[in-house]
Amino acid sequence: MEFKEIKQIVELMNKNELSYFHLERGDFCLELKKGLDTEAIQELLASARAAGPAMMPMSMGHGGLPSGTGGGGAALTGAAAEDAGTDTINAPMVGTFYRAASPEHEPFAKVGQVVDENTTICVIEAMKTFNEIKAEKRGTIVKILVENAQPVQYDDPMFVIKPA
Amino acid sequence: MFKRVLVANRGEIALRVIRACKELGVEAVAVYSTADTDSMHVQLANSAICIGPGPSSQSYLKMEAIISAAEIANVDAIHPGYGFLSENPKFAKICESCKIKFIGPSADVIAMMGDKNTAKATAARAGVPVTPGSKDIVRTEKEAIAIAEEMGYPVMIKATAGGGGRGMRSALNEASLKTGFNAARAEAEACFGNPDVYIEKFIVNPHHIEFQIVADSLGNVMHLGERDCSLQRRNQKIIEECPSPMMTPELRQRMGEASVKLCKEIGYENCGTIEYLVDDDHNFYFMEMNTRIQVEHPITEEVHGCDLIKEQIRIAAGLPISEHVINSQPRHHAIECRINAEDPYNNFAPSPGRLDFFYAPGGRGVRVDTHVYSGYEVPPYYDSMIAKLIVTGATRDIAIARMTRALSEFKVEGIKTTIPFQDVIIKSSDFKSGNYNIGWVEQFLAMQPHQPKK
Repeated sequence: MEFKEIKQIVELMNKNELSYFHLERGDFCLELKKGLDTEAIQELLASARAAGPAMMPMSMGHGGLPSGTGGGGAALTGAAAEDAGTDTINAPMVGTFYRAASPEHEPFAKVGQVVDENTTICVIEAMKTFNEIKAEKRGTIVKILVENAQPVQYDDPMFVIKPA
Repeated sequence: MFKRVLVANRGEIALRVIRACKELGVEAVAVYSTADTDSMHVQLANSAICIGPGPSSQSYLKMEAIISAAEIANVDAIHPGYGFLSENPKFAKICESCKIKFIGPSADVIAMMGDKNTAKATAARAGVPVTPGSKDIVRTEKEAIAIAEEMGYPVMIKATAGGGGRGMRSALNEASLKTGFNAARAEAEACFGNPDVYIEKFIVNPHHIEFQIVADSLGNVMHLGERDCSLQRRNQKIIEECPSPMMTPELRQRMGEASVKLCKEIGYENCGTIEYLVDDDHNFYFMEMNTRIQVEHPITEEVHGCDLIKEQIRIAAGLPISEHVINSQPRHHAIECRINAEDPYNNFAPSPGRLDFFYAPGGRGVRVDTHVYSGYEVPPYYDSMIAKLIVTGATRDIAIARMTRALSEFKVEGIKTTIPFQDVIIKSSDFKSGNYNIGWVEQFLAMQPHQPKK
């Protein structure tokens, strides 16, 4: 489930003045409770910490029912299980990130692709020099965090991979 | 005026440049290594780009990383600070070809004055006195005597292929010149396989006096007086003052004129400093030129009422030197102590680590230029200077009393600093009387009883 879908659910809850929503789908579980219930929030935080770095806390503490701003006072549990057990490939230099050798070429790496240490995954351009960047890790590409032609700093995460 | 400037440096000077940018309404872009993520210069810049890991060779000295960051951030100019790439003509050249203004003189001028031999020859051609020496190899005793007589004793006999202090002899008179000449040749032959020697005037315990130069692109060239930087340990300055206690108006005028003349000859632009050795007879000799801003620039700023970093940025943007700088009248006296993360009781061993507590002095006439704060972790990769303490007083005595007071308030816990050492020097009678030279600190250290480790 995407964050924007969760946001849509919260907005629907606000619009229809619902105070509780619970969804279970396979491994995925989503529970939304409106209003400031500090004990419950603490419980959720505790269980989320035990589960892993999955919680996305939304702004809490505005008290009472949220008005038109939508999304206030709710808490999330059990979000995307894919965040656990992943690693990132970070930029080894500062420059401009390109997914392919040129606009005419296919991207070096796609989501779902298996890479090893020597796989070229992208190009970083610095001072008119195009540097082919190797994965230097083994695994499957799960997510691409930088858009084509965007600048990257040294150590910025570029790819999320599931290590082999 | 530039819209955006990249600061290609770190530590206190990066913060200094960022502050000047902000006062000029210019956006400041900081670059930093992963070791400097928590540095104040990163926090106070308008934006910051991480360019590499801790070691300087992979970050602050890496030209491609700096230029790449400059391109991403779309800057108009780069301020190189001091050290790192500030006197690298190749870097200045790359900036020029990337159409990014390098805040400093041109690459050609940097190259010319960066080579010490060429610089000395250039200075000599401009009529600036240089350390007198024989033009060529001295082959006979007779020749040596003639040259020494012309130069005046004492002289230094140096092996042309020499190094490490070998193949060198000083001579105070003709008798010691005769023995020294032959001994130096013999040692040179033995150590380097080449007996050839030349002769230079031996300047006994000179003073290090440097002149601040400011030159804009419209032909204005001026000097802002001198700084006395004779208090050095192993060729590292630790305390500087402005004006110099040994300066006279007559000497200042001669040295100032020579400095301006040299800058005009080489077409110098922006801020720079010419360093001289001065003997007790007020003979001055060109040593070298630094084509960048110096660490100790604040003492000139305090005495002349100017902001040299802002002048650098203005000049690079094509503006003339500020009116108030051109018309400045020096007044008062300023002293600076470089506070280093070193243990003065343990042979000045570096002392990186976490600053558990950092409290800088304040009050009338006290200025502290620093990038550190309580809780900051001093990284091990870079030079050990953590702060510059600058005091200004209406007279030299007032400045000394103020520096003593300020040093006593300066509280740093968690690491060792040179504060106790500088405190002893400032309180010494030699410093009070202004009676010190380049050899003073080493002599002082040699006289100390062995200090117990703390």
